Amino acid sequence: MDMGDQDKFELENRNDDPVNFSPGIKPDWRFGGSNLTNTSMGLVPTGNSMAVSKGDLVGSSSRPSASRAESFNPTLWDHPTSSQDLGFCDMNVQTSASTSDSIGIRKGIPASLRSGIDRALDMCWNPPNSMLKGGMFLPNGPGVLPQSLSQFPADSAFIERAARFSCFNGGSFSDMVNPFGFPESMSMYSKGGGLMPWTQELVAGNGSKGVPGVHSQRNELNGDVSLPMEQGTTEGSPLKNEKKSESLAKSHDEAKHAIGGSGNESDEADSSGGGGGGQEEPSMLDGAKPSAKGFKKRKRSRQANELDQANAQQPGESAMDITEFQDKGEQQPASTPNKTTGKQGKQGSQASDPPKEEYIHVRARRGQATNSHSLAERVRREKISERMKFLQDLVPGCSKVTGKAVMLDEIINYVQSLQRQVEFLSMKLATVNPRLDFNIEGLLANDILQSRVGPSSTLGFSPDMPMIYRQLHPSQPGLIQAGLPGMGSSSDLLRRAMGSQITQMTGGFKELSQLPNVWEDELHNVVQMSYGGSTPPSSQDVDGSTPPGQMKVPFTAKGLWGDVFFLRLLLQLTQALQPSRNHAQAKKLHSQIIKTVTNPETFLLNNLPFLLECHSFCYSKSGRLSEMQEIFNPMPTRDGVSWNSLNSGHASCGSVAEAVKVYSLLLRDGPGNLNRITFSTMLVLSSSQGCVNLGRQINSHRLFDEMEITDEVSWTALVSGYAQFAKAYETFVLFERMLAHGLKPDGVTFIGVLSACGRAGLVEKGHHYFESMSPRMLQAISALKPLCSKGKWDEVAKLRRGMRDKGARKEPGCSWIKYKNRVHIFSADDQSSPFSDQIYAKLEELNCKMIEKGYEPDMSSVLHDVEESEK
Amino acid sequence: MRNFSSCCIKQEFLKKWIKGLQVCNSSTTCSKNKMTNLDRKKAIKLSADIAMASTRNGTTRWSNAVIANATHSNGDNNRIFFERILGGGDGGGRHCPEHCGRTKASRSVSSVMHKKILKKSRRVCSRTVLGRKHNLAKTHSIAKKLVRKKTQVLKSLVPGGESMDELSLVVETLDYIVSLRTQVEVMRCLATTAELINGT
Repeated sequence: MDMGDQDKFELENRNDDPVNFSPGIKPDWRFGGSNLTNTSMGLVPTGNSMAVSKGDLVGSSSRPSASRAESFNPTLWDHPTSSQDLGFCDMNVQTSASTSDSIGIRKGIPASLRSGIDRALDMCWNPPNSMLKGGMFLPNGPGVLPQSLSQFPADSAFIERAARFSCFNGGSFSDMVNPFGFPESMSMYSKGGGLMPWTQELVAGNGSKGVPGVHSQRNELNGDVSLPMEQGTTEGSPLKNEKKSESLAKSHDEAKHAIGGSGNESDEADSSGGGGGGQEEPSMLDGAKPSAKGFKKRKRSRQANELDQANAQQPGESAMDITEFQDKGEQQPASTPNKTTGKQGKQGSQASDPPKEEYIHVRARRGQATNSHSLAERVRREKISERMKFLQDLVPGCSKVTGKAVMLDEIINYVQSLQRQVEFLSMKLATVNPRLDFNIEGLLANDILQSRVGPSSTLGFSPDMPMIYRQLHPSQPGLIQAGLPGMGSSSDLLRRAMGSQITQMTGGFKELSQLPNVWEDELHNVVQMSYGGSTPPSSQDVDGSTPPGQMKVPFTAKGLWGDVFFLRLLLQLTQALQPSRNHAQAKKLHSQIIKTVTNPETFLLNNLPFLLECHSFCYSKSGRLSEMQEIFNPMPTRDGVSWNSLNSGHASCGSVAEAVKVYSLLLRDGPGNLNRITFSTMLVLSSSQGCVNLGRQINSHRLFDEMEITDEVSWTALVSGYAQFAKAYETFVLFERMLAHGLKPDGVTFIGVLSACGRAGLVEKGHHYFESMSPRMLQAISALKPLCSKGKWDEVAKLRRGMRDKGARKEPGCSWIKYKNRVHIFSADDQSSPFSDQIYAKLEELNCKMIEKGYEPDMSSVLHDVEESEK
Repeated sequence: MRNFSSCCIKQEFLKKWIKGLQVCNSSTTCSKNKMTNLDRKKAIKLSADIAMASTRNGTTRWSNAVIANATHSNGDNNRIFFERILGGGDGGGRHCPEHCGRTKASRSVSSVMHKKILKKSRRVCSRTVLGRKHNLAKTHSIAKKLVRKKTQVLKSLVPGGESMDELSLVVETLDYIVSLRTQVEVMRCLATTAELINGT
């Protein structure tokens, strides 16, 4: 019989050889041939592992049985083919018949076994089948089945087993043949029909641990083989005929076995199904079942296992089987992480299975005691390995290490080094700081500010989350599901750890994109902080009642320079210091900045733009651009962004000559760094400057033409640039071109155009443009200019009044005076320039000269402006 | 993301730590005896540790263990100090006694466990010596022993690690490493700042 079975399996396997029977497995299988269980284990999973091949395999495997079945019942045979539902119903009829017979035996079978089977099958049926299940429930008369059985009428496996047991136990072979033979053939047939019957389901669900299911299948096959013999039908294949007697004997043996060790067998099937089901099912069933279910099942099967243990009537073989299963369970975590798809996973585990068999038997007789823990253990191990991976990512230099011991070593070293660092630092602090005194007020004030900035920073936070989950989910859906509730706070941590990698990749861009928001916020906050009386601590600091050094102390340190956040805080502090004119403190801060920046190690490229912006802000405010230049010059890596920052830094504080110098440097150093922003900055600059000669203008125009992408800003810049030099015609041409390009002119553009009109004395045109402006462009103030120049003061006054009604604010007029080849900017009430007296003197002088030469209108306009401002 | 969250932790930690240091400072000035460098260092480290632990808000076992150990080992002297630190941040202080008890109990348990493990490992040793033919099994057991030893070391490093099983040990180690990192960063920054101030 052994031989017969093997041969049969061989046949089956040959059928699906081309599909997935790898040559590597074959020897193993042959080797295992000495043991029937092993053989079947090795073989059947291979056959079943591929869903595609199932149909073929089943077709082939069902053929013999089908032929047998045919001899029994042609009518019934027909039914299942036509519809699966019918087939199942029929089977259930059979079941009820057989169950009634097997009640006596069931007493011998532990209840846990039944529930175990129930679970195994329950798990293995996929959703489409559940419908059938429902259908099957009905035919199972509630009165016919005992209570325990009624829970799982759908179990063809159980039914068959029960039938088998009953038939063997009862000793009336011939009687039992029919009921037994039926379900078998039916299930086989339905296999061929594309529905996955229990054996295959089981095997599929078990994945690598196909043993138990296969085992039982083998039993059934034996039974099947034996049955035709009994019947005397000669339809059987030559193989079967040869083994008639053997199979009979064998079936007897197996019956005994089944009774003795049936509990174990089926439980194994169950528990392995439970274990494997959690992982295999999602792939098998297209994720129709939530993975949480898998987890539940695992739990349930664990329970079943425990019950099984409690029952504990296990002869040698069954014990071995259980340990086999255990081992497989232990092996599972190792193999599962590699699985990407269900199929691959199965194949992989198959590959790992056969060599395992040898080892299994070595360990077989050791500790059944661990049985109940095996599943929990496996889940735990999976979790551990998962966390270990995170640890590996977290600990530097650990990512390349393989092997747990080495990894642990690395982790230990790292923790130790960190602890030592803490020790060392606390010692250092103790020696350095005699008073343990740090100003908390400043920190708390900053904390308040920070909480305001917070929301804008969270922008960067949220997009990462789905990404991480996406990363985690596909790999081990069941595991994560199970793991998350237990992880608690550590999940946050892990997410953080994961996210850090992501941010590192996208860090630069995110920083840039975040910047504007944060910047706005900060500016707002700074205004509040330094001028509002609502924040007493900070204002206190600004007033200088507390030594300012302590306030910003925690943020000046080098170590934090990698952190944009602290930079922002620093910036806030610096800005807060500005009004109090605490330049010495500011200088100290800045020197620190310079030190840090010039140190390439602590300098992070990502933070470069921000840093420079920070500098440009600080320094332009304090009017010390040369220091900014100092920072910039020794910078090791200059890229477009840094150049632009510097440029715009200069531009924002009106230091044109410097900006031009920077620009020329940029042209010389790295033309590749030229980009849109540079151009627009330069255009704005050059157009807004009085000292820039016409050549520069032309240059900028050339640049403008070179630019691939022109936007409103550059257009506007150019327009106002022309307007500045009273090139009214060019201005108009440009403006028309801009409109032709479909760009929307904004207030600034109009200002340019209008001022060009004013300079060229084209009042009518100016008025026309002014009319075309939308009312919300409140910068219309500049419209006054052309009108002023023509002396239409009435209109101007009207406009002004209208503007004031609209709430428009006239920005203080700015003038650039070229004085001794240097540019001085002063606004209406600007006293900041050291040369202001001289400038005013010069202005007077100029005015005098102009008057001398007969430039009356200008003078009058000036006077009028003064009058207006005095009103 | 990293910037945001780690900055939050840093801020929290810094706040708590500074508070702790202030408390420390005030208490020392009250007692009017000059602190030695070592004392100060101890105080600083203690406050830093506790601040770090309290930033975790009692959600992790290592932080609980740190707090418990600190409270336990330093007696009543520092209790007020801790309570004030923790009181500022969270209500972690009231958990202390239970944690104390727990760690104590777990220690005895762990010592028993340790003995068991030792015995077991010895048995494994002797077995491997006897069964030389199983070379594979031998190397396997050696590797296992190594891992066990390393795990033990790690347990001794992570506060409260003695009572943890393998899974929670790994998880707690993760958390602990992140916290330690933050601590080191903030401390380093403060140290350099202090140096700067003193230098100028």
